[in-house]
Amino acid sequence: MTLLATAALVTACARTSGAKLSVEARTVPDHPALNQPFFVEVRGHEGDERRPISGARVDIIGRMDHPGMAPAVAAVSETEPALYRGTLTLGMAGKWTLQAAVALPDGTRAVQQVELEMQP
Amino acid sequence: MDLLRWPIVGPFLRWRHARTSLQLLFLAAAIVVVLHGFFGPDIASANLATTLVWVHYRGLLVLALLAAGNLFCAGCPFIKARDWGRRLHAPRLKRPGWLRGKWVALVLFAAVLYTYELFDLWSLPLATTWIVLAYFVAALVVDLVFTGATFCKHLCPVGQFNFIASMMSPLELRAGDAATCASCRTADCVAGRRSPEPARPLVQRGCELGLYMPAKVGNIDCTFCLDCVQACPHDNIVLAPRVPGLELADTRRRSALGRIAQRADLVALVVLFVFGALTNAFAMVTPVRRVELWIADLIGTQSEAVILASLFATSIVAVPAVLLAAASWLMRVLTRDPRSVSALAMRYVYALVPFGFGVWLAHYGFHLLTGMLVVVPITQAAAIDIFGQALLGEPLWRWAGLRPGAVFPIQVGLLVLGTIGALGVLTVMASDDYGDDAGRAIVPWALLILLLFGAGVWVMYQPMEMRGLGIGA
Repeated sequence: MTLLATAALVTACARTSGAKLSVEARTVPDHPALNQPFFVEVRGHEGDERRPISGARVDIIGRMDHPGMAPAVAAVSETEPALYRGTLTLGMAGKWTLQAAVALPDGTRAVQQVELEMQP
Repeated sequence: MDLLRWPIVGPFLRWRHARTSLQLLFLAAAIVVVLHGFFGPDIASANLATTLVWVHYRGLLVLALLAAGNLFCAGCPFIKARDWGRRLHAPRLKRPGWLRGKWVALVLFAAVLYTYELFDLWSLPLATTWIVLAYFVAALVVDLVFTGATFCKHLCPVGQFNFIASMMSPLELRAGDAATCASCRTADCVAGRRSPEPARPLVQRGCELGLYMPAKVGNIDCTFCLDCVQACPHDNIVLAPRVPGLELADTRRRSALGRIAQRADLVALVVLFVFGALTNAFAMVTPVRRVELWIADLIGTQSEAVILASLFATSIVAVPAVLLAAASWLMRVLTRDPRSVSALAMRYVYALVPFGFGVWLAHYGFHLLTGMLVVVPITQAAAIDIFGQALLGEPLWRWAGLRPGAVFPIQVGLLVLGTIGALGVLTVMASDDYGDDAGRAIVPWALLILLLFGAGVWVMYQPMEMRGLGIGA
């Protein structure tokens, strides 16, 4: 199978009462292959000082364009302080949107999206 | 047997607000679709607009047609809005002469299938929302200008799909006792019931699609509105079970329709229904891209609109024309039938409806079965977006539905049932036409049905590819 995917790194931000939460996500490898497991690494930073966030709830979900298609949901763990890693396997060719959603105990949330084009 | 006499179900259906209650339910769903389409996330699989419309609505619609009848026309929220509008402004004009039959509706139905693929409407929450709103506006504008159910009968593409598919439904509204209808002088079922007061105001409208119950045959043009039930002063309308699909072989003249084998517009609608089903499913699988590229090379263009139009012209016009003509011609040769090839085609094309229905069931059923539960986490996420906290709990994103691999046998089963239905209707038709020679007569059409069955299984077996038909994607 050809290994071809395009990924865009976007930093998403959310603000609550005084706090600013930013999320960064990337795939490892940069170009995941169809039906092959790959990592999604997520880092969260809080405030203007960009303090790394530990102990947050992180969801990593792969969604296809078509509504109703079962999302790919990663089991996420904090492998290093403030580094969250999940494993995904995408089994269908087409356009995928990876969403990394970070939620703090106080309810502050932020989401980052990574677009992937999986070729057969 | 009459479902209108059953406990619980009967009293509900005979309640004058039964249809309204169903319409309000659908109206609430439409409001949710519009709001989340405008304000929810832009990802189709995380938005209620795209999920509720392209997964749940389509899937439940075909299931309802299979299990009961045209419940989605019965619950149409667009017509509820139109009814409210008519309290403010009563239409005066009769529909124009050029708006006859199903030709305009046919073009609109084809346009829906085409634009769905061209613009990947399934992936666009905002576009889906605007389509829903446009439907409200269209139904309102048309039916505030023209009397009767002009929009339903002559324009609504979803309605035409429902009318053809409902020929496979197990329930039918029909006149109960023929002698009662024969003695009736007021034809309230179609003219409406008037008060006995001197001014005789209309207290209950009759069938807006012009179906006169003693002459009504089958389910085409029946929206299950139950106006006939409310209007009949003799309580002589029944909701009766029947053999699904048998009406396809019925050659009687039908109220407000005539003989369906003599209606070129209905025949064209059936062709679109059957071959559009295969085309719509084919557009989601991996090989379609190779076909696209081949067409692009053949006609020397990179325009997706042109390539898609070519694909549609081939799959829903050229290929059906050749196949139907070939089957009819062979039948004519085998039976020495004096009827023309076109007359035979227009009669026997209706035998393909069960197969087409099977394809729609397999396709829309797939999306419903694999994605039925996603509405739960999407709603949970919407609550978080609205209230800033997980009032309905953290989204259960693992909730989706059955695995695609588990659904494939169900899809094949539906195709098998549709094929058996088609062969059954074909046999009934041929027995009526040719008696003992029916066995030889059905061979060409049976081969066509089996060919279509093979094509259907092949399409359902192909890996899906979620990119739409964008040749440059």
